[in-house]
Amino acid sequence: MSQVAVAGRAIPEEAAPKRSRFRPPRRLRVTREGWFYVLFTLGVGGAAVNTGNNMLYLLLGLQLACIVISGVLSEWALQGLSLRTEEAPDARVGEAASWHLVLGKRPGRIPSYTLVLTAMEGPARGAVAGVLRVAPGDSERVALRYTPTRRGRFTGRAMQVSTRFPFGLFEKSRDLEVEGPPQTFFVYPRRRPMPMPQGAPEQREGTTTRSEPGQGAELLHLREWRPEDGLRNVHWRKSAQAGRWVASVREREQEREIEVEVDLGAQEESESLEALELRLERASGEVEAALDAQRSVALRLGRQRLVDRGDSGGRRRLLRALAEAAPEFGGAP
Amino acid sequence: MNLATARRISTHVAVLAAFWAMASGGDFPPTGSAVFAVAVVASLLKGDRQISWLAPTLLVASAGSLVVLALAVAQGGLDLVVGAAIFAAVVTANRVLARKSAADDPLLFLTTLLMLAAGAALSGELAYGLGFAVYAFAVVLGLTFSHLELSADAAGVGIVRRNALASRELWLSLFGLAGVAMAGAGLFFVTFPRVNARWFGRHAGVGRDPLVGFSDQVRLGGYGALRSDPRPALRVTFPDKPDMPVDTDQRLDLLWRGQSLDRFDGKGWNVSPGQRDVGSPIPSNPARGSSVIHAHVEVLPVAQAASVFSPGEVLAVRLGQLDNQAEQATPHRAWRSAAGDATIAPRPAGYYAYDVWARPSSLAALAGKGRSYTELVQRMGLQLPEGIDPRIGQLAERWSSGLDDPLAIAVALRDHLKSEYRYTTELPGEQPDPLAHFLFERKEGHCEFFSTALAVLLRTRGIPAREVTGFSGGRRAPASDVFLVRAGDAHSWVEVFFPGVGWMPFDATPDAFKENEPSGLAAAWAAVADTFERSWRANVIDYDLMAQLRGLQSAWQAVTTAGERFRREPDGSSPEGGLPTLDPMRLAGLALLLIGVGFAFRAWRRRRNKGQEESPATAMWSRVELRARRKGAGRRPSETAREWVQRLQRDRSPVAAQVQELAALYEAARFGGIRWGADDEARIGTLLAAMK
Repeated sequence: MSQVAVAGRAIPEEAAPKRSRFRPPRRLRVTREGWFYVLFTLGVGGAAVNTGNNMLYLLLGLQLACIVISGVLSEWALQGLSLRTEEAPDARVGEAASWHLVLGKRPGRIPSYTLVLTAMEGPARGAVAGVLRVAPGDSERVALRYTPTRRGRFTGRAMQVSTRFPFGLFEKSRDLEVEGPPQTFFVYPRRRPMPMPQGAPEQREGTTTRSEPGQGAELLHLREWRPEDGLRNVHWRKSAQAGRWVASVREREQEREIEVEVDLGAQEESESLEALELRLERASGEVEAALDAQRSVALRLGRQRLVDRGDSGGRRRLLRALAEAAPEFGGAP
Repeated sequence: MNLATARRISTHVAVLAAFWAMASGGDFPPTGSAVFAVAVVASLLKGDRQISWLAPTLLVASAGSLVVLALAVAQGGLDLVVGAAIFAAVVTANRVLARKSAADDPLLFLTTLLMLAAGAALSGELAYGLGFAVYAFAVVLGLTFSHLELSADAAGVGIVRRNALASRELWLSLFGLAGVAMAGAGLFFVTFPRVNARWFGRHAGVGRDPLVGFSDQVRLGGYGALRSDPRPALRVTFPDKPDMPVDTDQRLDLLWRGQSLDRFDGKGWNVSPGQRDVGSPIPSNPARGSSVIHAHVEVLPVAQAASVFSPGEVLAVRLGQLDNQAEQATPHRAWRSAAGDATIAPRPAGYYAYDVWARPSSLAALAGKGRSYTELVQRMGLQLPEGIDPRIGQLAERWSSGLDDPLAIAVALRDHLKSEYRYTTELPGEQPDPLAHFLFERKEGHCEFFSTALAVLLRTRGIPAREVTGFSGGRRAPASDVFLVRAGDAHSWVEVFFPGVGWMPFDATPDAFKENEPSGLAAAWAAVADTFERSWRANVIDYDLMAQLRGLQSAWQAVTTAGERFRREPDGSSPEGGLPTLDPMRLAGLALLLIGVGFAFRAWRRRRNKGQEESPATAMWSRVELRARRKGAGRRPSETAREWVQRLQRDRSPVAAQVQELAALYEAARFGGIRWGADDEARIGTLLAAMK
């Protein structure tokens, strides 16, 4: 897992798992039933060697054969797999999120059964999802459900795929990386319902216009009339003067922006950092409340100022900025 | 068949097969078998339903049975292995009844493995092998289905996709997998080094003591079931005469003498002090003579003996291999004991082999040898227990009245016993005077009763006689020169002393103790069954370290021989008798041809398999059609799904609404590339259930 800080120092985050260079390509874990089975096999082996009873040797042979078959089939299940993903949707601390992946199996003869995907990096680390069967040359869509615990921007693509096929006695696993560049995950601060921001009326009330086409009262410019303009927008006087249809284009009317400000100053103490997190959560709540009320928002994060321009990505831009906000140490708490 | 049903069936088959393998030896009490069968049937009827009072009740029952069994074993009323087998069955019955879901199956399979292990200690019969084979297939299927069902539960997979999983392809794959497991078991069986370490406890498996037939002592009326013990005790070849005469059942008409017992205490036989002491060494130079039988005998650990088993009077013995390497360092030798028995000292710990030259006995020229016995012979051959029933002496008088010659008396007494008494392996139980009970009340028994009766009757007439134990017969193994003498062939007979000749064998046991020969269809079936059984005995039960070494040796020999045959002479010609040599171009051409054929076969199989894999949508649609057909509203071959729905609506069929909705879902998944969500699958399950 890696993490990018916007300003100052990195946001405190859980340590990334160390990837040892000596990490074996396959890991094997014995399940509870598997331990019983192994112990019983050892018991039968001991009894066979002690007594020389060929029936016990036969039973021992079957048990050992099942162990070998288990190893071979689980290996086949783990081979030829690939992972693709769509863009990871932004998530929010404390709320369930899904990361959709597509698990593919290369063409061949043998399907893969009972696979379990586990995220090894990113906010979804530790999240698991099961796939019952992937046919050769086919793929299965998997939703990895997780609940982030920390805000921030994360990257990651390391996954682990494991299987207990065919008997559930052993669990074999391997690393599997999502194809393509590492995924970026944004985790917004925790949702904290806030009322519509109130403050200085000169800052937060009244309307203004912007030099953009809209439905306001002020005229922006005139142009040739088009059928989609409708009769309502015909500028009758100019049309009469020009002898052709002329349409009036009016300015967009806009309310005054609501400005939300967050002080990023903090000390390197847990209380101070927690207080900053609280401020960010409140700011997030205010931004969302304002946006839900169809108001424009300007977000001031320390020295950075972001304005929602009313386009489709505005909300995401502001919330991502809150997700990435790093404390400015040395300033006022 | 859906996944849960497939799992239930394979699990129950595995349970029954394991029980069959365990109970096939005949030592498992019939009541227990009946109770177990009831438990399995009840489990099938109960399914995966949970019954709150069942689990604690079964737990108490299991604990109670453990206490009862432990007490029975401690008091000697129950064999430890049989007790363990019964408890394994109790635990399995508990698990099979108490199971609630696929999550309970792994532990159930472990308990079935316990039953198989107990069965291995109880039985070596072919029936065990059959049960084992069925179990191997069922357990592979059952474990895999259980695992798939558990994984489907964990992944929240809907009923339709779950059931589509138990497709024909999966069944076939799992059968193939089970076949591989069996082959793997066979490979491990053949290659795993055979050791008989004997660290502790019982040896050689089966928990029956050889109380009947060959043993160091004989107790009349003791328990045992040796006639059915199929394990080989002796493996015999006749190097000088491979085509030894056999009867129609490929059985030898020989007695393999082991040791003699001279003291009868009224209930059994043992040996007088000093009789087992080592006497003179037996020569190892081969004996010559037209009547001399030369036999190579391998004594397998099941015999637990130190005797030189011989088909007559021992003339010479040459010791061969011992299976214990440490023992080979000690100088073993064949000796004749004070009683005249041929024995090996020091006593071998396990397997041993030897060549024996022996002279078969003959009753010719025994008449008129008189009664001048030495003191030693009188001490060995005339002892009678105190308080012997006087009726025994009177019976001997009556059967040999008017006779004086020892041979004539011996023959008369033997013939009376053979003709007037019946052979049976049923045991009379403990009797205060087992011999009198046999002679005057029951009038039937096994070989030890007959031999004891003849010896005691002869002694009451003043003729020295003693009990002898060993083996009878031996059967030729299929397609080989090897004769196998089974533990079940253990036998006892009598030796009568004739001055100037020595101890001569007399067998009073009726010939019925040999197995009855079947006839007609039964004979044919018995021959087939026997072929399998002998093959099982020869290749499985009898497979040991020596067989492994022989296999290794012949494999190595085959490799070296093949190498020799392919090796070309320096002048380019092949050695004499070798395969014709191929020039490199031809060899390359042959290799290319084989590769081409391989590729063509692969391409053909891929083409054939293409599109055969059944999608969940197709599987669902098949079920829709099947259920509609059962309701009398099946789809006509010429109808599309849409036409079928329209017809059902026209006819106001009760399943029209369900089929219409299911057809829409089917078409969306099959042709629209839409994957069903959990809601869709739940809806499909509801609609299918409504069509039932």
